[in-house]
Amino acid sequence: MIFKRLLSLSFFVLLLAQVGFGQGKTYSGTVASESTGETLPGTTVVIKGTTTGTATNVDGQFSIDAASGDVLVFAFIGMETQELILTDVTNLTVSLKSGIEIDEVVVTALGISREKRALGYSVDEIGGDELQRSAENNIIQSLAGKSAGVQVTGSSGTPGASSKILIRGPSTFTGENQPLIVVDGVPIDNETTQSSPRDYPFNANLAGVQNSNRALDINPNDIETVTILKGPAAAALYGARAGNGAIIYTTKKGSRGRKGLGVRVSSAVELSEINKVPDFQSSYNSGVNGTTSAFANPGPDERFGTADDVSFGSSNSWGARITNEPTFDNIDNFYQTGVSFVNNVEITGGNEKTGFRVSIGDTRQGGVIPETDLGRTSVRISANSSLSDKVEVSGSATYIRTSSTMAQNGSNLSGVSLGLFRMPVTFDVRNYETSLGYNNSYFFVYDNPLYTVNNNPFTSNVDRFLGNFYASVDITENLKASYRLGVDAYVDQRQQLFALSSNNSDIRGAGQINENRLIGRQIYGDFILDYKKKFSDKITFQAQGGHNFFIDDFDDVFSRGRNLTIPNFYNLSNASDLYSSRYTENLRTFAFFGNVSLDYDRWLYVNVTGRNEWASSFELANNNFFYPSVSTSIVFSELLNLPDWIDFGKVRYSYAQVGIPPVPYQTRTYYVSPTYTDGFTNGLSFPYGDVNGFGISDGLGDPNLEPERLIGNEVGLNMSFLDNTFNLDVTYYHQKSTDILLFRPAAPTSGFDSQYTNAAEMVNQGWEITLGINPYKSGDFKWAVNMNWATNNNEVTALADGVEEVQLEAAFSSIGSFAIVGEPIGVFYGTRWVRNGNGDIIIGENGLPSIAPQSGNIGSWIPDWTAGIRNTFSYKDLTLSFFLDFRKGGDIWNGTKARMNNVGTSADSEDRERMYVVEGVDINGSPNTVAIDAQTYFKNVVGDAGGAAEEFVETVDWVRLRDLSLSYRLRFSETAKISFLDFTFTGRNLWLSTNYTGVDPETSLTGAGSNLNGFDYFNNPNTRSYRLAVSFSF
Amino acid sequence: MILNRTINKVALIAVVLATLSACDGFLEDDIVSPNDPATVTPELLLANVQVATFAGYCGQLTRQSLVFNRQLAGTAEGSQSQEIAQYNITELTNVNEWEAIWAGAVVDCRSIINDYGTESPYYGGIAKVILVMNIGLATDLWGDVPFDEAGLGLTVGLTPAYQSQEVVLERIQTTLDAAIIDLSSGVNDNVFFPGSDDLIFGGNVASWIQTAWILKARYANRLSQRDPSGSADDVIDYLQQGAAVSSANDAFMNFFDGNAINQWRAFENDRGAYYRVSKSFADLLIGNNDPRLEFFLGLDGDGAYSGTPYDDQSISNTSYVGDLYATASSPVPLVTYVESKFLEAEAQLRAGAAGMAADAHNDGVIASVLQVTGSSPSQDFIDAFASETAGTISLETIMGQKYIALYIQIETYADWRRTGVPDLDPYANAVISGIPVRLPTPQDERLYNPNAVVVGDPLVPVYWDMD
Repeated sequence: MIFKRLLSLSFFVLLLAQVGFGQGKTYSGTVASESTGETLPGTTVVIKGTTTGTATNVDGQFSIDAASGDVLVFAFIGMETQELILTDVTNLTVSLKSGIEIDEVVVTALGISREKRALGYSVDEIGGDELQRSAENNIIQSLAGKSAGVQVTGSSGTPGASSKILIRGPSTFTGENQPLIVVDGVPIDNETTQSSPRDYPFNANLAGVQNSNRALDINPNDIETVTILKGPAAAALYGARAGNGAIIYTTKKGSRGRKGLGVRVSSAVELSEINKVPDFQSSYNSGVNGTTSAFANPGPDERFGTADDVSFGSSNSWGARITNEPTFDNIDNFYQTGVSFVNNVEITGGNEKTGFRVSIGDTRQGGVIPETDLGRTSVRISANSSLSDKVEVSGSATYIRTSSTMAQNGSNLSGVSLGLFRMPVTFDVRNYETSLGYNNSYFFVYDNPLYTVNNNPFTSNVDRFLGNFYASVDITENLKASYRLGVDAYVDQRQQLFALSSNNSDIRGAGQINENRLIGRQIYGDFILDYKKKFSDKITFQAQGGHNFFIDDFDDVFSRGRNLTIPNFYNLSNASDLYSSRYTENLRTFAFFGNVSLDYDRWLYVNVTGRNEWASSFELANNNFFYPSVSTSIVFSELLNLPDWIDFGKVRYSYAQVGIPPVPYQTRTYYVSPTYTDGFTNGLSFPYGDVNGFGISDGLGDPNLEPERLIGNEVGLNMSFLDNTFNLDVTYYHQKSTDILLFRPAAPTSGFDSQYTNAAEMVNQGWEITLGINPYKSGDFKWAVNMNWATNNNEVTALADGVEEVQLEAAFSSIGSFAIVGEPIGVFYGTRWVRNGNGDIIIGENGLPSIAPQSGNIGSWIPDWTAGIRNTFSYKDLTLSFFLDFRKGGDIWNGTKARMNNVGTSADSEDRERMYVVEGVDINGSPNTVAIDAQTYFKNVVGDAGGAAEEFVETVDWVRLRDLSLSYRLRFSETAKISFLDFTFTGRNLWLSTNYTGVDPETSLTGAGSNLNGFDYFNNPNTRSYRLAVSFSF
Repeated sequence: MILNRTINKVALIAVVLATLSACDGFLEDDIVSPNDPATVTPELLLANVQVATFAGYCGQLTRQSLVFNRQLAGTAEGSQSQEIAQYNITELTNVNEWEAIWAGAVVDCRSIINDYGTESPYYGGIAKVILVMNIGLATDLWGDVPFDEAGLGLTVGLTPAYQSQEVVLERIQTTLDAAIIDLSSGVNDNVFFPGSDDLIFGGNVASWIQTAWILKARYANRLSQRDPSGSADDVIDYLQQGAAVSSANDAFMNFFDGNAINQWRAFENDRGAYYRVSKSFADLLIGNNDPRLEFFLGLDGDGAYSGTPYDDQSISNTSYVGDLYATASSPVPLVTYVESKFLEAEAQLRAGAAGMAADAHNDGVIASVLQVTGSSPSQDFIDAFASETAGTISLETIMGQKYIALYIQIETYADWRRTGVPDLDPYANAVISGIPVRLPTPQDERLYNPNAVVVGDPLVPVYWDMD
């Protein structure tokens, strides 16, 4: 099937490709790096002594008209320039050696290119090929493990589930902690929004489906390179939103100077499967106290809550030992192999003055959970042109359609894992529907997971347009003006259905329709004057000044229909109870900024920036703020007489401030339409009957809000040794967040529970080490190693006056996520056992420990360190590459296991025909000897029917083979229409070694839209996958 | 030249000013939230404080209290309900309910009283009664709480001073006195008149006055151990002044399905089988051949009536609260004539008027059966349970029948703590050694109010509970 699709596409592109052939004698070939074997796009190819030239395309290929005897000059930044005398051989392979000088150029904030050696702060660059190797469909998840200090956490392996990215830890409490995502100089929306009506009183991130982070819409195949600006220094010019760093994606462009069209087609098929689920017992029946109970049986009408109900069933597997009853492998019967297809076609072309690129990408991802999928079609056109010697214009337009069907997750009666991991082994998950089409489950309040995936779909359909336009004019030789405008607009049409008899509708079993329309619109513009002057051979001065503006509008309209009558008719007209709500958030910012840099004699670089920013989330009287940065780089290898084996050495330092405005609408106190709930029901809300009501908001506004300040200090060392065999980059940073905005908690007896105000302080400090090694690079065989290691220490150093602890975001009643002075941000705050002075758990006369009256810190999600190692071996056209990802430490609250122990489905609970003695001491300090039965032990001690939350916090280590790829390039003869075929096999997450007892510990209950981390409560599992890709170019 | 420079300077300043003011124009439209209003009306506030009160009296506080005094039993179907069955309550257990009382009801009662109470004393009076019901609920469960500074975060501060329960009970009486004066004001003294926004009485001030008197009696009777005779005299006095003669003016929480769904129904919908009627309560009604059984209890999984033992959370196939109180739109009693008769019975007994106590008791039982079942009890039932005399009446009898008559009302938990009726053994496998007689100070209050009187041990009784 995939092969057919490939054929029809290639026929289409062949016709186009004909245009480029047969125009005289042409030399063509590929330029690659000698050390890495990677092709070098953008290498300039010039006939010596002339101005005739071209550049290599995205695959490092070029073609140029020339005569035998001409000399071609190949030049690429950071590489030694190479000359080649032409003979009659027209098919050339050129390898460039790494330059002695590291003169690589990187794109920094506002698209300003700087030599890497000039940078006074840490910047990481990741090539598009590295993204391809990850075989991820989400350009955020592709970055996982790839850069020191960048922590990516995928929520689960279900299609479209969000990935959260943090650089150097969280910097704030209530606002955005993820970096700014920029594509071609324009920030894009990477929000992760849960669907919930305004009367929903809980944290919507704890239940529902795992929604996408919107950067998911970007086609990874369009990405040429990724630049990661890690600290505030790097991001000072983008303003507040880049306070957490910035991830700058640069897309592939049409290359100029190439004759004819370049066409590249790639197709991939991928199979994925679950990689880890908890272990289960398989010896005991449904029921409690050793007595087997019948499964839920609603009687002849097949619905519960009616007079003919026969049995409610049981959520427990504490029944009798299984003798003759049939048992089922429900895990195997439920999950499936997900099949995905990824197809991309790109056409590039241009002439001397113009380049363009058109790309079409289509991804069809099938989930391991039945009925879940993600479809993404992206059409992009980009062009750049020199209108004259002085005027450059470029632009791009992208239309994306992303559609997904998602499964329920987390704390949710329709949750897939909830229904499945609590399922008695004697119940057959495949028996999910009654004869009338109603839910059939083992316990009357849980949905059978197969019923929910088939009958309760959540669908999201995103139509998104991304456009940007850029123009620059060289006013004088030294002065350039540019303007950039970008638009990112999308509408996300979502629908959640709950079938009659499903349990997760607000009114249980009554059916529900949720319609949600999210509209996001961002408009960004900047104007920059760029002045550059070389004062002498040694001194170059450059300055930029400009302004930018940013409009961020978000609108969320939610309509809900409850109490459906006609089965399977999903229109709001079928509902007897209707509710609608709307939430709008508009933020506008505006700034002037300047950037001055001075280069002295290629060893001293100094850069100073300043920015004054206005934001609409302040009152007018105090709505603007200024922040500066200074950075410097000293290339000491130019200054000192170093031993020969040191090729290059540089130290750098930067100091930077960023001001971060509050979230909108927090300067005033409003009246709100309240929802009153104790946490068990959706509570009481308005309109109440036909009466409306408002009360003063529980949160007080603050008209005097000031921006949060992030102050970063960073020092670094870059060195290269032994002819670039070793490349080392070491960074130490200290980032202090002050005036952190938080909902400062208040005693509810005052009538208010919080005031949004500037109060807290927090410090992130850590080390980032990157080491590249090229152990072997002679002949046809090459071996390259890239390693990164990072550790981040986070500490909350101050909260508001009189406040030592504050909850970050609502979670569960037994465990929350807190900021505590002296502790890392987001520590788990939960129930603990009563202990004596020696720290021993005190066991009562009944053999049970008891819960301390006050909760406290029971663990931190922040890893001790993370690391990654990439090994790449290549022999001629065969390349093997694999990436090992390490995590040491960091806690996860395994709420799943707590409940599985409680209900007796966990593997641990299989050992139940004996007594247990809880480790601890009695009130006199003597070791506990009171034995308790297994059911009591698993429910009340190591289960969540009485167990303290501290019992379920696990410190997690892992080593995983995050990706492994084997690729082979099959070359064809010069006369063939196709120059080569690339075959690539990629395995994702093939191997995982971890001490975590639940699902793959790269998991998140709350996803990228929440500042909670490390919660696992019936999270959907992660996946491993196998991808085979074929691509070819003309 | 100089002129030119000046012009240049002026022009430059003008450009800068124009840019900055354009900047403000660009920003100022988005300062104010389009999502929530900055002003409000007394109608909206009154509906709000009543709904907050319904949430308090028909939510988790009531459910867990009724497990403690064994009208209900927690099952293992929910970890939280099992925790309650095991008396495993912490400072985190009731943070939502604590907040609804103060940041929901009390703060907006203060707004009604302070902003509208003078020009519209009917609103002020109703708000004072609601205020008392909320702070009264809080002090019954948590002991010392703020009164004078409660709900005044905007004016007084965010760390209200706590007052002893003794003082809080005094404030309750004086606030109810003030409410009765407000509610007794002339029509011409009022600018605004409560109507459909008064979800309890539809603006009927006479009913509110009667409710205020019964509440005065309820809280006077809290001091039955501290001041047996004085409290008895107060109760008798207040009930005479209030003079409720039938159930016609009872205060009910009203529910309407949808957003206004009865919370007993909502709970069973969302948390199926977490709580069941307790076996002892079911057996009590069955043994008494009580006509209220089929109204108070729903059918169990076998089509009969049964309860879950307090010491076996694994049994959940038993009866839930019946349709009388637990359909989507069933009203649930708050302050009733039936309660006033039992208050009277208890006070008269304490005051030494056993005959009047017996009469009030018998009236209370009969009124309850009539209200619940719609018809008067059978003569057999009257003979057995509503024919007390001066010679037979006892505190056990009165409190035993009040325990049934005020089924699913949190008031019965206060009665049990105060009188020890019914006599209950603690659950042996609980995490603490006795049945909780108070709630731990909520975490938010412990952490963020240095003035809070923090008590963590649920076995420490409140002031009015002397043993």
